[in-house]
Amino acid sequence: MSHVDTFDYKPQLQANDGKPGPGGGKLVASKFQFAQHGQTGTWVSELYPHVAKQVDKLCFIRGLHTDTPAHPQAVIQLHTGARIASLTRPSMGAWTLYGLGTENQDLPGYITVNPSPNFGGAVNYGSAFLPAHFQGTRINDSGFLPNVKASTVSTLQRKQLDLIQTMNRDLLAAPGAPDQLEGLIQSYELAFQMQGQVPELLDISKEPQHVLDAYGVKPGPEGSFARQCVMARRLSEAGVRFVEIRQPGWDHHNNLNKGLIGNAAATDQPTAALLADLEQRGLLDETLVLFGSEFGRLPTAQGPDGRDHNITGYPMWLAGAGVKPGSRTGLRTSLGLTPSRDACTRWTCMPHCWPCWVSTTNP
Amino acid sequence: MKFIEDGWSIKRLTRRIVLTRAYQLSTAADEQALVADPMNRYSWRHSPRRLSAEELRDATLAAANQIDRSRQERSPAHDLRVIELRNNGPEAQRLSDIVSKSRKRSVYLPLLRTLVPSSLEVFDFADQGTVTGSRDTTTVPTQALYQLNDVFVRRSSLALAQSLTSESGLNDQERVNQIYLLSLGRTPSTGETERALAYLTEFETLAAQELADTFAAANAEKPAEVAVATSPEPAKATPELGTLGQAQSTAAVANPDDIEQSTAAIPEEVVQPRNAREAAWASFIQAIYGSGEFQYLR
Repeated sequence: MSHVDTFDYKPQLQANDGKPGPGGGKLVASKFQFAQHGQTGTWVSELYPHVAKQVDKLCFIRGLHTDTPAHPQAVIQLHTGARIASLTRPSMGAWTLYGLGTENQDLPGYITVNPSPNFGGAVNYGSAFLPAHFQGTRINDSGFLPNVKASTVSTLQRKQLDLIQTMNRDLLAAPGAPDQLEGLIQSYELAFQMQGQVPELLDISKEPQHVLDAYGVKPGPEGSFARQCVMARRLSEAGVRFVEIRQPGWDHHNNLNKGLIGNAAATDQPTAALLADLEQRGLLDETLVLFGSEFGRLPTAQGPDGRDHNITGYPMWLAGAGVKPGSRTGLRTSLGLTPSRDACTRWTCMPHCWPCWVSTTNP
Repeated sequence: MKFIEDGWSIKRLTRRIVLTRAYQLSTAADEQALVADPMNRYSWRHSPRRLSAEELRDATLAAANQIDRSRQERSPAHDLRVIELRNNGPEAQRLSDIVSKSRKRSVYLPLLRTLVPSSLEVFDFADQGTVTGSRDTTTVPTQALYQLNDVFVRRSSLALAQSLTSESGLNDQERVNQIYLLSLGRTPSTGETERALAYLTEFETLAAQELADTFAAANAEKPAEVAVATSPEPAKATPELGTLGQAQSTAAVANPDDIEQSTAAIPEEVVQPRNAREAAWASFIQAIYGSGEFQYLR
């Protein structure tokens, strides 16, 4: 995501439009107007008018950097903290679930919505050397989870399940039965309950119309992120420990300005609505929201209407869960480009175990 | 020492181990031995364990008389060129379609990075992108959901149900016997036979009421259909892999960053019994596949 066009106001960049950039190339000012918002007077561009109204809730971490200016490595580093992408490490969600356990025994503890099919794919929600049940459960942006829809009517399936459980209890009563059999019996009951609960939980049409309107829910790809935000709130409220949602398409080597307008329109209102909704339900103080991407974009131009990858000096923001609202941490950069590595904060996987959600906006 | 004499061959070591008497013991336990050595330190039986993902899939195919033991000529992914494979792209969908319909042993299933066959995924299959020293054995609800609802399990159960019910020389008790022998390797006790027959009768009555509309609709559509009913297949979704090559040529020229990345819903194959009797037998067979006795080593 191009930080210098959205959340990272650079007056020096605006003043030096067209001049040579520090690493070569020509500086190009943002085409978007920035203004100060909230009591903190934080600068936000006109691309994010809704989030701007919530800006006092946000805590910006500035001057982040990652190690590789290529999507696959950077996305993997974002999710697993692994500097060398081929050394597979547990994902952020797997660690969180491992550290905090789950709040709702009837639901998966870690759900990732609409994850990127490439750039590391399943590694980004994998459990690596942690036990397999800490890995994320993948659903798509319309709430599809494999095999959670009952394959036949409930009465018939319950009858079948009773037969399975009778056979399992027979086996359990036999001497020397497998240790995991008790767990197997429980897992069938859970599965049967999930069939009732999960589809309902993921069915956002159950939300009142004014809530759907607040998030800007609509069908089709433009409404994808809004639907994911509503799903994320419902899942978190129901006790899912870690939820990740995703809006793709930020790789603006070209079509920067139109592309940003489209993507900001898709993410601005839902993100702001999510923060407001969480606050209104009293959930924000126990839920960590993280908004960010694997790297930023350069202050210099690439072609007539683009910016190249920038792995130094980009921000992310946090909200809720006790982070200091309206605060900024990390070093300020003058051009959205940090020349010295010493000055940056490398993005490492959150070591703390907060109940959290991540909203990453991958490329 | 033998390992060194054999030239450090892991293959020979494995052969030596599986040919031992201890390895070939069943998991059957007797009370006395359990008291004397509950942890099985002296290998007086095979320690119980859940079947691995591949074993479970193969066992399901074998127990349904569906397994094709012949060798796979070549991988269905043979014709793919080197591309960054998306797990929601057309190549991935065709591959997973081929895998889902395959009756070959699991060892022949194509394993491409990030594309784990769904029939293996839930049972702690080792991710092909990483090194796994020892697999986990988890017991989680997604496995139970798989056994209750997955199209592969239902298709296998229905295939055996259809072949057994259409065989006129058998009575129901013999059919139950057959199912036990095929899937559990033993004959049922008298109590189990009675329970099975009672289940089949009750389920058939209930299914006739609950699913009357479904059966009527299915039979009206396809009156002469003999095999498992399937939804119309996507064009050219055959294991003739020329299609894979074609599909990727368009994908390969596009910039991967520009490709739509949302996961499209994949239309699911319809596995539908034609009548209440078939439904009852398929449900019974599926229950056996879902039981602990089937899923754990015997």
